[in-house]
Amino acid sequence: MSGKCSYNPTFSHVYVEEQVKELPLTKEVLSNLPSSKIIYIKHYKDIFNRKKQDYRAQSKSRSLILAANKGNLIFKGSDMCQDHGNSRFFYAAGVMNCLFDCDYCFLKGMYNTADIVLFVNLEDYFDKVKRMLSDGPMFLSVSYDTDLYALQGIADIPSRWIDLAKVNLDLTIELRTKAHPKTFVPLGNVIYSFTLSPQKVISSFERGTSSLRGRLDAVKEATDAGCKVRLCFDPLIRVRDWESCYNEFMDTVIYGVCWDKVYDISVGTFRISAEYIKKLRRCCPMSEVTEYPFVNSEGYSKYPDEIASSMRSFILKRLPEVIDEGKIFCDSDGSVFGDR
Amino acid sequence: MIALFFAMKGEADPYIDALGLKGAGDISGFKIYSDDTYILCVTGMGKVNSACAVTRILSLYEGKIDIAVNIGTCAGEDVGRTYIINRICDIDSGRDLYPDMLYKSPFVEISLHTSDRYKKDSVFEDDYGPYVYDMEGAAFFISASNFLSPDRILLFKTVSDPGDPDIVTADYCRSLLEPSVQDITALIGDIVSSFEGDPYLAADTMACKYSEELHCSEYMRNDLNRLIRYALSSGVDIASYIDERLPIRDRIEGKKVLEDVRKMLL
Ligand code: SF4
Repeated sequence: MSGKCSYNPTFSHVYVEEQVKELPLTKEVLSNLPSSKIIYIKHYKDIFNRKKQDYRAQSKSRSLILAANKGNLIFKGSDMCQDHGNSRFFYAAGVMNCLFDCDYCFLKGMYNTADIVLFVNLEDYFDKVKRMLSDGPMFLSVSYDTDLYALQGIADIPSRWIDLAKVNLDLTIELRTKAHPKTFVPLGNVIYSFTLSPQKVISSFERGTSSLRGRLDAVKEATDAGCKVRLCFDPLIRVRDWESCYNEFMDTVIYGVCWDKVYDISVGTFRISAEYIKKLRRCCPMSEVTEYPFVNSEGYSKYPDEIASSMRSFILKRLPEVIDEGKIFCDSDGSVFGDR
Repeated sequence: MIALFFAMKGEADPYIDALGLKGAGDISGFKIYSDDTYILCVTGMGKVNSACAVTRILSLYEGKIDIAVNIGTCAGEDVGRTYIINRICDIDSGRDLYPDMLYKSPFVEISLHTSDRYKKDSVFEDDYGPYVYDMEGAAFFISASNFLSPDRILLFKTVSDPGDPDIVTADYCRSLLEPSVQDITALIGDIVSSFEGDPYLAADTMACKYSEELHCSEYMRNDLNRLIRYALSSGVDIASYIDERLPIRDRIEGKKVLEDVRKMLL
């Protein structure tokens, strides 16, 4: 034996459903991955749903699957989702899994693989949204269970959604990210949401995402461009020295953001469906964030109430210094919304 | 352990010789050669033989096999060329199977078609691209998938003929497979050495030790285990903290220490 093996780079293998090989988004993605091995397949589930997949091994060399979503395209946001007061709140399921790799991500509990499916039949999504708009205005989170900007090097999907919003003013879209988007388009019905975390949390648990500095720069670019910006202090993570960690973080954020241009803010502590926690730990064993002795309550694994509320209060007591309290949304009523 | 599966003895011979494996008799009629690292099985030809042998060996050695590898000859266009398989089509059922392709390898990738019938034509391309053809690969993969994750199932195929099975003899197989033995065994060895050990070993060993000291009930043991995992993952020296409180006389005192540990940690 001559030594340890080298892993293939991310997306060294792209599995492409035969039926989508001529779609424009497929061509765009493949043109951005010229060295990848392309393997044509019948159905994405033949790969994505294989049994006994090893997330930890696969996460060292993730594959991309390009497919058509023939099932549900747009989902109603569950009661557990923070809807920021929007009654017709929906999310688009355009990608399964995420190229970023946050230790606490609920997707690890949801899926059995590290591979990523990108549904390239975007026109079907757009048609569906246009039909739904005939029932009234809607709020649509388009990167609710993935981070679309993580894929911006291979496909500019956010721009396509923004183009749709541009001509459908009853549609408000939210683009949530831990990345630094390359471009910003100021539209009244497009909200750029940035998840902010202390650098220590980013370095330890949010692999592949932008640094705090990068995210704050992105926030500045977005507000300077006149975009609607939402800041998400969510999930708050209980690290050992969390008070000093979050104190330093809040100092940085408070001085680094032009607050009068911030549209609103959400605050929430980490919580995850109790069904997912076992699998999450298997994917990220011996991680401070997954190994926490959570309490189980109403089907969710979460921090004990007194700890969660002290973490929330810690952030909330700093925010009124800089922003109108009416703009702060919070999970203090115990609502639970995925990873965020 | 590394499990190697071959349909024919002529295909296995270069590996038995190169690895210095010793005959270890039969398991359910399948010839076995082994040492401390390898178990090599000659399955016989066809899907049923392959499925039976793989299932028998992997269940007998369940938990001990790190990786299962199928090596053999196949029909294809480029005689003498060795491929690593990235897609397997079971012609008889129409099912497609995919090993994970996580590791860099010196071999060209290709699809494999498997059927119980001999291939007697020279068409090696379909709508999905070029392929090679054998009589075991799909059954090997389906059976091994019951035991191992798809990153731990590998197939290497060397082209013996362009759809002319009559020319394939034991000596011919040996001569075809011999040149790639070194590269294939080196690659398998490197892959196996990159597998990570049990991430919970240190925590579980510690939990085992302290559950005795704290006179834990089963419920307390689970609690202690969780607290130790959290402590170690967040860099807390929990061992010293508990050691300072030893000896602990009984379970009531043990419960108190457990509560102290929780308060200290959370
Ligand atoms: S938490 Fe969000 S950014 Fe992180 S991996 Fe999950 S979906 Fe991606």
